[in-house]
Amino acid sequence: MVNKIKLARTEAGLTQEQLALRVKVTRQTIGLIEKGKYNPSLQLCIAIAKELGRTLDDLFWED
Amino acid sequence: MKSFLNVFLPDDEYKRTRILYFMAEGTFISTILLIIFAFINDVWLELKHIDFSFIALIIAVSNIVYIFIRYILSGIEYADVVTEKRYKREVKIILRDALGFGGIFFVLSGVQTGIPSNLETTIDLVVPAIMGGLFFFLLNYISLKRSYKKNKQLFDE
Repeated sequence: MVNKIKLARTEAGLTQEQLALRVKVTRQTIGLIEKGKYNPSLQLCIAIAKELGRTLDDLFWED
Repeated sequence: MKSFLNVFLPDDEYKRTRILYFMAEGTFISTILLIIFAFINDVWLELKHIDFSFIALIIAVSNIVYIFIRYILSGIEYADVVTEKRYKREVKIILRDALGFGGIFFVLSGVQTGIPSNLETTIDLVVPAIMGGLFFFLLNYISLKRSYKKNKQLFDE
């Protein structure tokens, strides 16, 4: 699944490790999501969106 | 989701999903093999006196080994190891743990069999401990190496 998490994360000034800690997953999981190699659960999508101050549309909606 | 399996699963949802897949694959393969074995036995072998305990043990152990091997090779165990410094530190930790495992194996075997009286009994005590430690090291090292390789492709720095 294509997403804009990496861009939103760097704009928020967070490292993969910091975001992983905040949403209680491993850094590997964040890396996989950013690369589109793992589709997170809705619960995790919401947690990431909240931490990055974005909506689900901002992060996951394909134009 | 409520399940007794939650006790065996990690908190991280990616790891959790992968391990559930490994468990499901193991169960699926076991089921298919059992059906094939039942068919072959019915048609050709016609074994009347099968040691049920032995068959049950083989199925259980092979299932666990399958899940374990898939876990080791998947590179999900060391999910935060990405720098060479951290990798080398983890190798040292694995080496220390393997030595500890071999040591405990040696002591427990010694307690069970008693102090060796000749060369043969000494070898019987020492070799399994060394092999155990080596096996422990290799499994963890492969898991670390696979995780490190995977992480390097995923992480920023």
